[in-house]
Amino acid sequence: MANFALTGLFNKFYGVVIRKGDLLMNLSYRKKLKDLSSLLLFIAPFTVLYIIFLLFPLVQGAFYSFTDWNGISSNVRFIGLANYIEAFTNDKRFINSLIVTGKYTVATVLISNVVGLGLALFIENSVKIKSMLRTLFFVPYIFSLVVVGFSWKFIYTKIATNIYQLTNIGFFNLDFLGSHKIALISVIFMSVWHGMGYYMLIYIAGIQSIDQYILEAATIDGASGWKKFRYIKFPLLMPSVTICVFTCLAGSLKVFESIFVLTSGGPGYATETIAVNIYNEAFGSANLYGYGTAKAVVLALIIMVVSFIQLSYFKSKEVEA
Amino acid sequence: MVKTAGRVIMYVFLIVALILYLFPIYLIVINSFKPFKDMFESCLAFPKSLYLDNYITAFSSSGFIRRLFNNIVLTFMTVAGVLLVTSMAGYKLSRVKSKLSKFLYLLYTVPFLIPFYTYMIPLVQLITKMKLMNTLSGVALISISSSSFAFFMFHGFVKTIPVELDESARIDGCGEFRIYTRIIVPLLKPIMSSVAVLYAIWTWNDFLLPFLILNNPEKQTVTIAVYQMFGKFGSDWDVITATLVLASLPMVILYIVLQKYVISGIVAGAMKG
Repeated sequence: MANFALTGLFNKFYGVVIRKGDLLMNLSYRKKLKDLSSLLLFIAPFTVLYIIFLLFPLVQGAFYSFTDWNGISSNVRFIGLANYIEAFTNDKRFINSLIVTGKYTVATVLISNVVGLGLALFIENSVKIKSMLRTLFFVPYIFSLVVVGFSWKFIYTKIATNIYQLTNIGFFNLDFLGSHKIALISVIFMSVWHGMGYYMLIYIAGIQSIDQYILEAATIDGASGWKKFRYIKFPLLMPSVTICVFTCLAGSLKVFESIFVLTSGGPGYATETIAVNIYNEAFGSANLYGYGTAKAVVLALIIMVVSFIQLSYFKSKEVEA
Repeated sequence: MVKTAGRVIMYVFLIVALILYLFPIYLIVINSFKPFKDMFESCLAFPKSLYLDNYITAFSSSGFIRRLFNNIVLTFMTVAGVLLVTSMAGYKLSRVKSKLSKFLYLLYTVPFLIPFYTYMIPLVQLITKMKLMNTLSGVALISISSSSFAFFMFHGFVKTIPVELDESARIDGCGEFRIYTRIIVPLLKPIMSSVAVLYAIWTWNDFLLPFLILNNPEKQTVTIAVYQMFGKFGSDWDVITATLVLASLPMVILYIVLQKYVISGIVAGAMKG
């Protein structure tokens, strides 16, 4: 009797309906158990690695952000929110890096997407050389950011000066990496150059998925080229815009390697983004790991909030054809 | 008539834009074939003769071949691991609809949003404790653990494979693992090729992670070599440009040969996301 009650409770808990008097495990419950075990078996390799090498250090990192740990000593003191308060009240260099990251992100996201979409629209119309253009505009994306950083260092410093000597065109005599005013623009230009092909590809795919009949109908109704773009193509491309802006936004807020190689954040702190700031201050020279991690957590939160707002706003603008 | 003229203008515009866009690459390549003194006579001029000394210096510089080899091994290990682990997880999570699978799906989006440096120091500690410091497998394991992009690609792609295929095999007495290897994997081949090429490019180019884990020069990769070369050769731009070209060449060849997989992979990734 007790046994029966227990089984009943068990089955109730797992949401299994059992026929009166039936003490055997019922078939659907067995199937559920089998499904669960095969699910666990298949996800185990990825999930175990994920937990060990990502989730676990992440939680640990978040914990260190509340301490004054220097990365080496075993003496870890819990100091609550002190690191966070310090970052926002006393650390002018960090605040500066927030502003630099903001400017960099807005410019890179805007230019990459406007140019990428514009180019995609043009390329989609150039029937004969479409696939060649698509392939070649994407090429910079396959280079590592370290290679890209060094290449542009060479171009901005050596080649630009050389072109100036040869042609006397004033533009090439600009101090691309040494001037406070220009350095950030140079960095943004390099980033757009490197990543734009990626967004262009996604936009081309988006354009191709638009039903031709809709555009033909619009042409018959007398819609001009601009109107067709503004009222038909663009709204139907919104899913592509959402994903491109999302990718570019998260990538730009995290940007590190290319700037690290090109300018290391200089001149002064003119191109020091949050990631470069964290590296220079916490992991490069002074060993302020607890403090550096707190700033990294702030950056993670910024990325999450910005991405969430962007995704929900852009998704609300998407329409069905 | 007007339409053809417009077309011609557009073609000219696109080709000029393309030439300007790829011009920086051209500049790096032509200058890598010049002796140092010719380089600054005119950066824009074509090399006077085929001069290969920069490449010989770059190639014979301590351990470049070793690092090239390390990069190849690392890339193979990572790509194989990513393909196996994420296709298994993507397949099952796409098939089983439960609260647990929904939760895991959300959990796997985390790496898109979390910058690497948030957990980089605890990770280095962990790797040290596990005696994986200075090992290529350590780097590969970490890369695999955050390969959510591949997971989402497989998760999305499996949805297009009819469940009836799994079910009829199950009725015929086929085990779960055999269903995966004999039915699902062959159907996943196109998307697997795309994921493989994309991860090959990303792994080949990765810098910060191998830089942190691999301190031993014997174990380092080409990207690290490129980074360190700047300290070593100072402003010897002749050798540096040659190294830049050498480090990128394998991926350029890979891209030229397998470009259709790169393009379809990126497109699929964007559409499924």
